[in-house]
Amino acid sequence: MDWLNALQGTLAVALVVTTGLLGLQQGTVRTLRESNSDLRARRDDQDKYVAEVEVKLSTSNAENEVLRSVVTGEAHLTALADRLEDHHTESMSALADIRSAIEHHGGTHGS
Amino acid sequence: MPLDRDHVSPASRVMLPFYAALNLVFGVLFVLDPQHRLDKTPALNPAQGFMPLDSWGLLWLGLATTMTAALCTHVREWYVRALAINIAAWGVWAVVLEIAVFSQPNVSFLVGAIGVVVAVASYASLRSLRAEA
Repeated sequence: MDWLNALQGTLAVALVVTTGLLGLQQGTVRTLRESNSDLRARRDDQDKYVAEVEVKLSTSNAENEVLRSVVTGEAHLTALADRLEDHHTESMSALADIRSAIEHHGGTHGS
Repeated sequence: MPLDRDHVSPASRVMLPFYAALNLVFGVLFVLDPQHRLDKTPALNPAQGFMPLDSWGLLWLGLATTMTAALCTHVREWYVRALAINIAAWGVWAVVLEIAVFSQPNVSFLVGAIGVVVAVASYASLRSLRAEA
């Protein structure tokens, strides 16, 4: 009779322990499912954010292209103005030389 | 995360040693049963029908030992498992005691209340321990 009691006790304790551990496993699975849902929602948010950033990036690239062309045009104008200034300086110098030569030539011819 | 004072809530600092002490007291009393008072208590007849009082005592002693070992070695997972079994043990205890209300004369309606309280408190501590992990 004693061993029957021992067997009954062992089985009952095993039942209680198994119930507790199964409950724990169920809680673990539920927690994992919840975190899985959270992670999916977070991933969806991240995807939306990436799509928004891509749109902004393409817009910025287009604006950048326009601005680059404006800046390049300005640089060309500056270079052109510099060359014009150089030519103007050279022309003035040549004009001064020509005047000097004419005056010199006129003075010699007159005497 | 280890199971130490710095990594548990203030409530857990009180409750975790309390569960171990409670299980130790119940385990010792149910195994030794001084003066055979528990054996003669009518409210415990359904509990004895589920399993002998010695087995109840050994179950609680096992839980107390596991909890104490987890607290000493700071292994959180051991204490979490012990708490899960603790919830089942005290829940079953509450049920079998409440059965005595209907099957035995002169048994208080609140006889299973302590089992419910310990099971619910253990569940709260379990959730707290898992949230901190």
